[in-house]
Amino acid sequence: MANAVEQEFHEFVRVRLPGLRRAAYLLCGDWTRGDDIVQRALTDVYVRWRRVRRAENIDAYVRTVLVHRFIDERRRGWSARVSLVDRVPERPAEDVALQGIPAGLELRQAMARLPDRQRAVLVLRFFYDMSVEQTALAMRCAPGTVKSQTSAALATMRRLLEDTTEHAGRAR
Amino acid sequence: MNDWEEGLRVLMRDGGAAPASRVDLGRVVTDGRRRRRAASGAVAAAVLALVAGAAVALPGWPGGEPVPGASGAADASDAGAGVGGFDPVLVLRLRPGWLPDGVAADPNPSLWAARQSERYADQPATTDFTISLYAPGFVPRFLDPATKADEPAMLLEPADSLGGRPAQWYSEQAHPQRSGLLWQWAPDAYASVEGITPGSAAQDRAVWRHVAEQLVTNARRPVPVPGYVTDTPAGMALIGMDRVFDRTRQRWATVLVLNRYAYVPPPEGRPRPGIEVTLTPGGTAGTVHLADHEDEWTIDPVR
Repeated sequence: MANAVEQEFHEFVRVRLPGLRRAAYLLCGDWTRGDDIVQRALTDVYVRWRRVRRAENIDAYVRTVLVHRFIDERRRGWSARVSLVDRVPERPAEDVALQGIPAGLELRQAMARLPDRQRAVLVLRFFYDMSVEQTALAMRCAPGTVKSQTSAALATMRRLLEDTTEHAGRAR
Repeated sequence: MNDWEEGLRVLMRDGGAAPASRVDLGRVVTDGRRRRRAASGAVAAAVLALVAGAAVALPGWPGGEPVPGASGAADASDAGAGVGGFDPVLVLRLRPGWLPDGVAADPNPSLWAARQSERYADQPATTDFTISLYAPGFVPRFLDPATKADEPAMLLEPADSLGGRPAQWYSEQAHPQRSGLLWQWAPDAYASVEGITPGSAAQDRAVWRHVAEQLVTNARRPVPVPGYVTDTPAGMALIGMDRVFDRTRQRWATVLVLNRYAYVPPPEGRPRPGIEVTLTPGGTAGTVHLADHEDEWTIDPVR
């Protein structure tokens, strides 16, 4: 029985890991740090797995843990600490232009300019397609707060990304 | 959803190839098991301490009273050990040097490593305010970028400095009748006094300022608790103590919060990270509840 429960956890992680890693990367803008966040979030989930596995929406629970891990770590000044890595950090991927948005690096840079909670709201709403209500539950705040943070984050992103496009256009 | 938002969504999902994963599932399991064991150990220790009724010292508790410096800032200088913030936690550093007539302290102060508060009110509670002292490096939740979005919107106005340090008036946008004064009692260390009085807004401000000017920040007032956790999980320490009214048993209970780091607690009713051990005194029953664990324990009545 214990093995079956453990097996379930391993299977869950195997399937969800790519998505969790990308979400963490979008949150913090760095694959190495993102993996650290995922590592800690999965440890939190493992500790409570016997209860979590009975939850109606396991994914929503895990995303909530991930987002709060990110916010917690940032609050504790984790990003200011130096961490040793066992390989050279990745290079930015080749940018792809998409519907007028200069992608890749600019997206990451624009996301990095947002406050932590606004970034988390964007990831939950646009990467995970969660509704305002689901996002509010995950962020432990009112739906109105999610709406205002989404709106503020989108406005900032739009301004930053359009500035980038304009500058790129002038430079050409 | 418009094209731009749709584009953002696609871009988020299609951000190029990910590098090889550094997530170590083996370590997830090892660390997770260690945490489960540690949490169970904390329960056993808490139960033991409560049943025995012994006031066993917490690890890191120096045994005596803290030795404050002249300004009070030295109180927090030993905060570096362990989880940060005030250390030891169960000692009130604040003492009002002046209070309005008829006002007395509430017997249940809130003591956290990051912030300690004491409430003062008169009998009909027409005057009702709370003084809070934040440990160096910790700020009120409405100023902290990580938490301010969850807090009511505040109006901030500059105030004359206090003791040569910056000060601000503040009030809740939705309830401006409840106001406060925020200042630095030591470098990078905030204090606040907030609440209501029967007077005008100007009179409120005069009261808050007088309370602030006379506040002693290097007091040594140990606060007794009915039990202690004798053996905390590795890296954890006591970071908070609150009193809650147990409606079932019609008595006050003490909640001890253990964690690996200190934080300014959220308002009542919101989740608080860490292990919570609730002690109901009186020799009848005790409940040990671990907020960070999947189970909940109720211990037998103390005999």
